Amino acid sequence: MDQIIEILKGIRDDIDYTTETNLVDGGILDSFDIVGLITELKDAYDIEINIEDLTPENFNSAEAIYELVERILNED
Amino acid sequence: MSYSSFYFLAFLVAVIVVYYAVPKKVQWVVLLAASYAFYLIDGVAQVAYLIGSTVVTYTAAMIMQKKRDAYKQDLAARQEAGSLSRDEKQELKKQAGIKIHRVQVLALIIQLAVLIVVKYLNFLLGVADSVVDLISPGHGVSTISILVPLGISFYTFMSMGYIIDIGKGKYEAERNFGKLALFLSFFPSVIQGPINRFDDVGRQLGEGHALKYENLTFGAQLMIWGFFKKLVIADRIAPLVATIFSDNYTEYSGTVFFVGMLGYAFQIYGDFSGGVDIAKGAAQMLGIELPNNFERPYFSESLADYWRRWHMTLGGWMREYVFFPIMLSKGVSKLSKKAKNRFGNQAAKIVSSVITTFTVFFLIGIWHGASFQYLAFGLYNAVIVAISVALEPLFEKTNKALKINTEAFSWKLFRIVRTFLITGGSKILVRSPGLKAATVIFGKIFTDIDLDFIFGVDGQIYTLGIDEKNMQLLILALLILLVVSILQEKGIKIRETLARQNIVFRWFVYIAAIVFILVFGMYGPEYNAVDFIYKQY
Repeated sequence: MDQIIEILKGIRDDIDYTTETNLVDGGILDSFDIVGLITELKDAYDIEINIEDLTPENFNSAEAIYELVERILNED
Repeated sequence: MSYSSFYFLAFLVAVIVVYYAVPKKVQWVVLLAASYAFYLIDGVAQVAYLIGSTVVTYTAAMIMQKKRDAYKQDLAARQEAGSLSRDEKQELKKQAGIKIHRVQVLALIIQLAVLIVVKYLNFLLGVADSVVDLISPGHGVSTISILVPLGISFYTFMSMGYIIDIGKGKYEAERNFGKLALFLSFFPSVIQGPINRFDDVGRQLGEGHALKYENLTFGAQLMIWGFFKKLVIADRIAPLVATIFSDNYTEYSGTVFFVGMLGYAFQIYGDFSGGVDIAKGAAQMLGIELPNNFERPYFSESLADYWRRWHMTLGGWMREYVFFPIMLSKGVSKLSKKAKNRFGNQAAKIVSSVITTFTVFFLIGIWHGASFQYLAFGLYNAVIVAISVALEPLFEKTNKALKINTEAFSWKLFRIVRTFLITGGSKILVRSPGLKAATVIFGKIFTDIDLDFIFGVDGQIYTLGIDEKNMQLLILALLILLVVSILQEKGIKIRETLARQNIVFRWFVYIAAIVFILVFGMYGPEYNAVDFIYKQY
């Protein structure tokens, strides 16, 4: 979880990611940010993130991103 | 057969009667027969393209499905025999992926090649002709006569989306050829969209649907609303727009073009979204829900927002099959990483956004047609979106420094008007009689201002295709459109609200709406309305 917050901080550091639950729907991260984030996640965890996983719900909070990564890791 | 013709209404009624009379299991056969009959009426030769595209799509999807099934069986068998390591599993997956990928690429190339030959070959030959003529005057390349099948851009994109989905294993391939053929030919959406997805509309088309009173009334109401937008608004403005953006364009002042731009903005919205409402309404009467294609695009607060709300199924297609794959591709990832390490986050964002927005808008431009005007249209959109991404931090800083309340209504209204004018500019690019004319018109709008025209002092405004009475009616119709749009924007569901009213009031509204359209709709000779603009795509 801390690692994910670290990565998010690398994209925008003026957000409190421990409490924010509206990253995509609230317009804090746009699609270009999400793609940057995915590149970082791919490298950090050695996972493939599919286009189908690119839904706002999966990226609205650090918690949701963490769950997504866990899910993909378990599927492998 | 135009969607706004009386023939279409009669055709639809006949289909509905048969559709609900037969057992649910064979309803899809009725729709398939109706769809091919509908398509055949507009020409026999073009059906060959549609069938060809369907055969390629079906064959490719079935081969890919078989390869995926074989891989899954293999994986299961090996796992049972002994545990596979993660690396071995990855390798198996990779091998299967390569085989599927080959089929996918081949099928996509075939689909694209047909589209390119039919839609773009003559444009390319024309360009080649000017080049050859430049090098050796007197010689040239002649164009050839090609039949452009109706709706080819729409069904080709639908089939490519399906091929990519099956290639990725997003869902199982359709084993019934007829059902896939119906998905690609469904008559309400075959000519001008929306661009449907198989896992949504394709599945619905294959299932049976019971007759529901609500589907009939809501569908009919949506069709009436579509006819209103098309016949009362779009077709009423059409002559004005045609007069202003004609070859006589040098005669008019900048203000005339500004009015022409406003006119065209509402004409094309009424025409295209009205056509889609007619399609959606007709489908709903058959129990099929087609995707939304418009979400009040003229209330958008930025150009990127506009493209999420205008022709949404094309935007969604581009996002899923072009934008994300390019953004996630190794090349772009590497490049943006380099930019990030060297120049920081914002630079990385600019690099990736420039590459993707230019690709996507280039494709959106030429999707509409082969011409330099549509290329310019794509470029115009790409440049503005890329600049707004690049300058975003600067805008945020300025807003903070100037203490602008970004939540205030006035600020939102400013953004809406600004976005509307920006999209208006892109519309001038494609509606002008040529790219050169467009640049002249742009210049005039900013320099040649003629306020007398606006206030009707010289009466010129009523000489351009709309007389005073029709202008008043048009303004009334636009006000109705505005009020309805604001209500929708506020989340009020108009059809549901109406359904809760008493029967007398309800039917008064329905009949008044139909009479209004019958009396004030614009009809051409033989009571056929003007052709839909998006039909040509």
